[in-house]
Amino acid sequence: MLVPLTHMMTLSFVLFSIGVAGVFIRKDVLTVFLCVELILNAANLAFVAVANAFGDEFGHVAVVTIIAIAAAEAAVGLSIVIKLHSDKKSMKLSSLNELRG
Amino acid sequence: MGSHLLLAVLLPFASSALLGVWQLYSKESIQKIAGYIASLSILVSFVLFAWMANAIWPNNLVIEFHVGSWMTIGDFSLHANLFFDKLSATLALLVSGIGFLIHIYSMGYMSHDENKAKYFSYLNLFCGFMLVLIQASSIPLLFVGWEGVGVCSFLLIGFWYQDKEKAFAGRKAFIVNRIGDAALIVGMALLFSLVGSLEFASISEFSKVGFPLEGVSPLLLEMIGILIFVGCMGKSAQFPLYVWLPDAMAGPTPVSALIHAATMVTAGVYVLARMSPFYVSFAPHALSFVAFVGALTAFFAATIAVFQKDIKKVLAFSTVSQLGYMVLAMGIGAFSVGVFHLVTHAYFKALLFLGAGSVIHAMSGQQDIHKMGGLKAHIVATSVLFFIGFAAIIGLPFMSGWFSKDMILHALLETGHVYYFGIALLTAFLTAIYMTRLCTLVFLGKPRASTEDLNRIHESPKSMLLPMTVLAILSVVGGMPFLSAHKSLDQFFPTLASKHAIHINEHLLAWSITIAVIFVMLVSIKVFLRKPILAEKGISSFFAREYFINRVSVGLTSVLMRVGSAVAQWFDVDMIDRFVNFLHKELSLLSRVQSRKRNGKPQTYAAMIVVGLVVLLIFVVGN
Repeated sequence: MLVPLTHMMTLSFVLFSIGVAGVFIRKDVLTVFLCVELILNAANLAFVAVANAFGDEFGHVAVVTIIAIAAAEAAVGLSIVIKLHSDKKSMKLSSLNELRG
Repeated sequence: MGSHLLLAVLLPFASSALLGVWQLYSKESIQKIAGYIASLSILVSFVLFAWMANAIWPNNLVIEFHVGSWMTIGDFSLHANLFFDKLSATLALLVSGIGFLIHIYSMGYMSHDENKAKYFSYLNLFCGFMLVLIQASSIPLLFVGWEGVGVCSFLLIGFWYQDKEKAFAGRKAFIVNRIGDAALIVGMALLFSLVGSLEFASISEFSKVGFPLEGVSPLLLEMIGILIFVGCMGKSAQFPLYVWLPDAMAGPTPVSALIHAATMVTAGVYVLARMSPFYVSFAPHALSFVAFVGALTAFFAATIAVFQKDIKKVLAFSTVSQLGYMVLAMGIGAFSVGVFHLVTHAYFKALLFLGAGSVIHAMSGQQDIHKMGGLKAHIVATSVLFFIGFAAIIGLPFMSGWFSKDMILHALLETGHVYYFGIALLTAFLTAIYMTRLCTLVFLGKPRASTEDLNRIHESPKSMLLPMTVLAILSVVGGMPFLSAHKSLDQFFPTLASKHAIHINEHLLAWSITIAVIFVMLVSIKVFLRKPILAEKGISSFFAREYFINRVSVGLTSVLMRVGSAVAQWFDVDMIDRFVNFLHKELSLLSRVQSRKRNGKPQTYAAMIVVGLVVLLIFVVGN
């Protein structure tokens, strides 16, 4: 065990926090999308680390599944971004405010 | 024999339905034979009625026929039963007999109309409903006929509905009758709550108990009597609900003759006769009210008739006046005499209307008597027949009207109603004046029509003259058989005790009145020959416009309608709308607090989700 579990979990937590903060703060749709991917990968890292530490294969399986689904999600998410760009002529997330009360 | 009764009532309905359905499929082929089918059905009805009347008359029999149960609610059940006694027989013969003659007349009168089948279908339907009204053994079934004839009257007044005024007249008749019908329904309900049945037989039986009734307020009894009479006021055109009848003359003339002179308008008188046991036993004050309204109507309609210039309007007001006479006779308890006058009036008024139709036909639609005059030379047959009707209505000796009118006057004295006698006598003189004026202006004197119109004058076809001839014969001799028949009808009705009877020799009274009437007639001929056209100003315009009653009642109705609609609008806009708006405003105020928080930014939503997730997490882990 080269790297202790706590380090791995800390890294995962930092990555997750950066992702969440990015989703909240950044104005650009594409960056927000990248931050969402960051959150996903933080979760993946946590899965792998815990699975490795406890010797449980389920964590590995979950990670591979998440990667597969994330690929599909990335395709859907990117196509939404392209559609948004062609409709609003803008990449700003604040232009998506139709639900304002 | 009961099934014959049903057949006689159903035949006109069947014929009406046949004509109605046939013309839907083949409008052309039916037009020629429609009149024959319609007339034949009424003729068969008439023969059946005559045969049955012949069977029941000597022995006072009653034919009953149970058609079936109409409705059953709990332990109350209503039967649709027909029955046929002397009173029904008299009216059934009248309706089917005069109905048949008027069908024949219509074949000539309506020969140029393209909707003959529709016309005869309505006319048959009318006869059917009228027979139901007469033959019904309970008030609800009578009411079916009552409303049915009302509908037919509406349909036939507005038969030429393309003319706006005629369609309006039809509606007016229908709506004014509604007022009376509403009262009749309420009276019927009160009567039911009292007697527990609406069969005429039960009501008569109940009335035998006599006054005073245990635990029943006399006011309630009088009220039932008055409410039922208000229904009769509508149908029989009594003051103030008479306003529809003069307008009803917008219909084809045979319709005016059959429905608005001879039969339907006498339905109210029939109901009074039918309910006579109840009135005599329980509602003497209501009966006095009946007499009062009858006398008032008789007199004031006669004064209006003197100043009318439309030939049909004169006859219409004359009808109102004569109906008042009948109602007056009912009100003083001379029921059989009232029915007698009903019958003779049906003969001569139908004749006069058909004569008027013949005159209008000859004058190519002209109805203004100021533009007629001297027609005697041009349409001889019509004028002779019209003069017979004239003689009957003013009561020249030995005519049918002479007998019946004299009997009413005599009954008025016999029962001690001196004031009513005075009014009725005045009305008789007024009748002589307006009828003489009508005949003088139409048939005597110099022609006032343009030469162009005069050249076009032609006598009516035989199909029109023939029914008039039959009616003329009935107007002359129709009173005689009834002189004995009415005595036997007299046993049928209850007798009203009278306090201050004045006994006077009937013949002396009759002849002195007759001489006075003839004197009035001769003076009127002289006056109207010299001065046929009355200037319409001052007092005469007051009479010609019906004392402004029509205008006032129409005006009052429209004011009421406007007030009603204003109130309804106020309620709708200021109450309902305001309440709904208030609700929606206040609720949206509440929701605005929440909706302000929704700024539409996805990142805010995401933050909320995370915050919520964290809170949940703390909550779950904390536990």
